[in-house]
Amino acid sequence: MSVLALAGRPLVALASYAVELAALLGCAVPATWRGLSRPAVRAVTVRQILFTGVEAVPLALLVALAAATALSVLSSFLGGVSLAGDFLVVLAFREIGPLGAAIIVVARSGTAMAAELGAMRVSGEVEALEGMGVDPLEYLVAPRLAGAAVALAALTVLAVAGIVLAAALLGAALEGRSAGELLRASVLSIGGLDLLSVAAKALLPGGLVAAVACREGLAVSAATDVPRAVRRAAVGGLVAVMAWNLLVTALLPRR
Amino acid sequence: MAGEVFTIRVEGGELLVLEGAGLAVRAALLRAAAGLLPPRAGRLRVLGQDPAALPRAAREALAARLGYLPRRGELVSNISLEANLLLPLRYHRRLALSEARRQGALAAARFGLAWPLPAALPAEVPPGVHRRVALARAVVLSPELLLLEGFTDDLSRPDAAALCAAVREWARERGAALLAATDDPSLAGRLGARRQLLEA
Repeated sequence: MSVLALAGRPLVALASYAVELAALLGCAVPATWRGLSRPAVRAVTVRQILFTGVEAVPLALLVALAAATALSVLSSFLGGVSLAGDFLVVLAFREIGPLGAAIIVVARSGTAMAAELGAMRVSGEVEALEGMGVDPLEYLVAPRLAGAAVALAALTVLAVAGIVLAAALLGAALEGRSAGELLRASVLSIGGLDLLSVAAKALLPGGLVAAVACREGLAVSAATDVPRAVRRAAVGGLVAVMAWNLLVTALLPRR
Repeated sequence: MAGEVFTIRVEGGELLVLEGAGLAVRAALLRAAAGLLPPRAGRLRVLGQDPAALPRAAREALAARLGYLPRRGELVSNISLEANLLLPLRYHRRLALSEARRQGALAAARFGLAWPLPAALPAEVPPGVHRRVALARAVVLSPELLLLEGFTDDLSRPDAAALCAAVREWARERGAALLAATDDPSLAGRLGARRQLLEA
């Protein structure tokens, strides 16, 4: 077998998976719109936002604190407060904040969605819904996509703010810097590209993570497939998030 | 069941119980009637329409005129009993919670359920309560045709008798047709239904 064939097969599989996800996302948008008028669907969406967003707040703050500790130590090697502010903003806004929040959503919610939908598929609940005329795309998939998108956007804002604030406070406590000065330098350093980067990395990945999880969960056909679906949802979600973040970073100009 | 074609006809207000032919065949027939499985041969008309030939919105409207109770997986496992019962009202009819609860309470009472329902998930209640909620959910939209698959098979005799009486009474009052499939030879008698033996 040629090297081209060896490399080509996984690439084709990856491309076909990406097309499948894009199709799922494409179908979920009108389904979300239709579902907005149905109280039953709105209730699932709200539950999803609570589970994926609100219940993840303590973990997001913990991750923000851990990231802030590392950034604070690293920024101590930089000379001026202004440079430290730039460093903090670039890393918190553009890379660590969005990535940390997305990893939390993959680990907590992507895996839970895949397990939940897989179990529902195996137990016949999905078919029972279809028998009642309830569209699984509208009732199960669209609320998870919308809920995860909203929740990840909110968690990203929280993580970014938490990292900047905690890094300023840690800088004051550990390095004897003025927390107020570092915060002021950070706020002044925020530019349009930083906001664009955080928006791009906060808005789409929630839907992507949920799309991967729903795709894997609903593809389950036997109880023994559920653990595999959870693993695929975790790995697929991480790969999708990292690929998207890499793409945004590559496309956006440097400072 | 490849290649098997059955002639089954249920008129409005008629109760019919399918027996014989094996679990898989009976389940497939009910799933076909519920629009879940397009027949590979023959002709299927449900309430005068062919589910497989309908566009999405019309198929959804047809499904709302049916009540379907599969043998397993009747209730959504991650929402409360009440949310399960109100699901068709809140999905198809888009009812506000207060009105949905009013109609849900009527359906629940029909199957001997006290209102409000216990604040529990389906897995946390006994099979008899589970099945009552599932039946109440199947009739909460007042369907013209009720499809029931082995709905008494795993219940105690008193539970089964009580549910059969409630279903029979509901169908009589509503003037609805009923198509049930079972292994239980006494079900047709309990429901006062015509029986049809399927021969594979």
